[in-house]
Amino acid sequence: MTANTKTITTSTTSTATSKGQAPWQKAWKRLSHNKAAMFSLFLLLLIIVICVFAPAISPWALDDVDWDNIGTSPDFSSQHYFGTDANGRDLFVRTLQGGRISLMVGLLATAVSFIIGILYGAIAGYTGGKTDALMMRFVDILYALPFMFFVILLTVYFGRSIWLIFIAIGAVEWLTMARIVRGQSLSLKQRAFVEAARVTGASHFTIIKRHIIPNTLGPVIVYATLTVPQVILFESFLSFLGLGVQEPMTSWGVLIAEGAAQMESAPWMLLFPASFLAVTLFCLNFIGDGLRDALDPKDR
Amino acid sequence: MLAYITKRIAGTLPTLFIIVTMAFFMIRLAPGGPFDSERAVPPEIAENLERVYHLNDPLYVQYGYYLANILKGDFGPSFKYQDYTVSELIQQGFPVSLKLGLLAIILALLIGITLGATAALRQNGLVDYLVMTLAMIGVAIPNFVMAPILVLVFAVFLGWLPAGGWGDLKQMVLPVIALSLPQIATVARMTRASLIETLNAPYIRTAKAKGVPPRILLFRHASKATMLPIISWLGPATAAIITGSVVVEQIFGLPGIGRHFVNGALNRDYTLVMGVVVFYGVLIVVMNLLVDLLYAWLDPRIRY
Repeated sequence: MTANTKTITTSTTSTATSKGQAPWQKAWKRLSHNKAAMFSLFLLLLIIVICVFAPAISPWALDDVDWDNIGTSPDFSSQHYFGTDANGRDLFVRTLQGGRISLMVGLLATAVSFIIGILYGAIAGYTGGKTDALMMRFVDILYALPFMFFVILLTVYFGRSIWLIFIAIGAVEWLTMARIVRGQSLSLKQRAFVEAARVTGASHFTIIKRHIIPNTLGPVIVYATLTVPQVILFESFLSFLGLGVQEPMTSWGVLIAEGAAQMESAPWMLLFPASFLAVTLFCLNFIGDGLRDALDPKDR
Repeated sequence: MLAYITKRIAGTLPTLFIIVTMAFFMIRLAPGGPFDSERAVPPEIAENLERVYHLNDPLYVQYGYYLANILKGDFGPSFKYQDYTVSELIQQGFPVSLKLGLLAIILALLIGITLGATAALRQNGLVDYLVMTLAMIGVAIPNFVMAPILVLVFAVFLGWLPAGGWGDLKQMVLPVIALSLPQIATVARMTRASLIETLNAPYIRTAKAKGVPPRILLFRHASKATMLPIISWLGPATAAIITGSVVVEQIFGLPGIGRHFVNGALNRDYTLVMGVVVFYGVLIVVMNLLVDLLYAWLDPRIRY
């Protein structure tokens, strides 16, 4: 990731003196001037790196029980950097492992909604007419449903599993994405370059793939960045209620629920997962806002 | 206006239909029947029960009975609570949830609008940054984190307020604040953006040029246009408040619908969970409809 970032920065500076700049380079340049967004990006990458690699440096595993340290506060000599929970499990490892799950749910479910939303929206917008009206009416109807409650209803019937959360969140979050892409493609298909492509005999599928979708990516990426924190929140909410991620797996929502139950005797159990969750949500929101400012076509 | 109202009401019918139908078919998908318990029911009794509850009729007949019952407000008996029907549980919990939710919305409007307007009038000033930072914190910190922290600070460390229970005024303070904080942040952000946009509108500039005093400019000229986005916020806010109240009721141990709902979900009380989903689903759809109609009434551009 950092290597990639570097190449973009250098290419931006080298072309800065020449006349034209690709829109993406301009956007990156604007973003890199946004201190809050850049700091958030750095912090988020740091959290991801810590969650992925740091559990390995701890001598404890996810469900190791340390009988000598049950419910102890953070202590470096026993290598429980974040303390232990009421069962003597190391909170440092659990917080980071939980972070892996929360982040993975956030990214994967967003990716799912991203793909469904783009395809659905592009097809509706590009086709237009009755198909479009029907497809978007369906989205309107789904939009009005209280999905959180249906997800909980689903967990009652199909048991609680992480896959259900993926499907449920994917099923909810694509709606806004589809609306954004549809609006964009409605105006894009009137543009001269789409007409030109049609004249040269490009198939509808090719036009959608090569011309419509790439041109909708700006707002879609902004929205996707803002979807990730929503999804993480959604998962934590379900897990907090005991309806999401189940033992032996853990996530920030599960840890916060355990921490909230013990907060009078062991406040660190709430403090660490809650701060990780809050900081991650902050970062993602700031990055999303920064991207919106950087990619907003109004400023171009 | 009448045409608009008819159109909007007709538009919500499919949504209501889908909510009820989805709930019905989900309960059909439930693994195991209602009589599959440890103690076997004699076949004759099971048959009688099945006849009374129409379990042997074709699916569409059952669906018809189900629709008719829901229209009468009857969600059937609870799977886990012996002495209660689902409707009774909802009736019992709703006043608590309603009071909690209404107070949270009122608080969010009062504080959110005040903060947002203050920030907008001092755009890019210190107050503005302060309010917006607080709003960012309010939006990013979910209420299942905020509520325990509030309990920890105000109930455990300071001992000013009780940590749970429901009834007197003191017990209501923390749950209402916990529920409304994210909404306060949202309203503040929206008010700020909306007021800044309104104050830059040509008609405000004209009024200013004609010498309208700032107070009248703000309260008479700018207020209505500023309030429009906040009216439309009321729709999603209902859904957010209802979802939030599920968590808040759980944390503070309030006897509302949210707690019945979560306990029902954990105990696999199918009818209770489904009843709450239908009840809240209809409530949210109706609220959205009312907000839309209110909006159209205030802003004639929508009607035509």
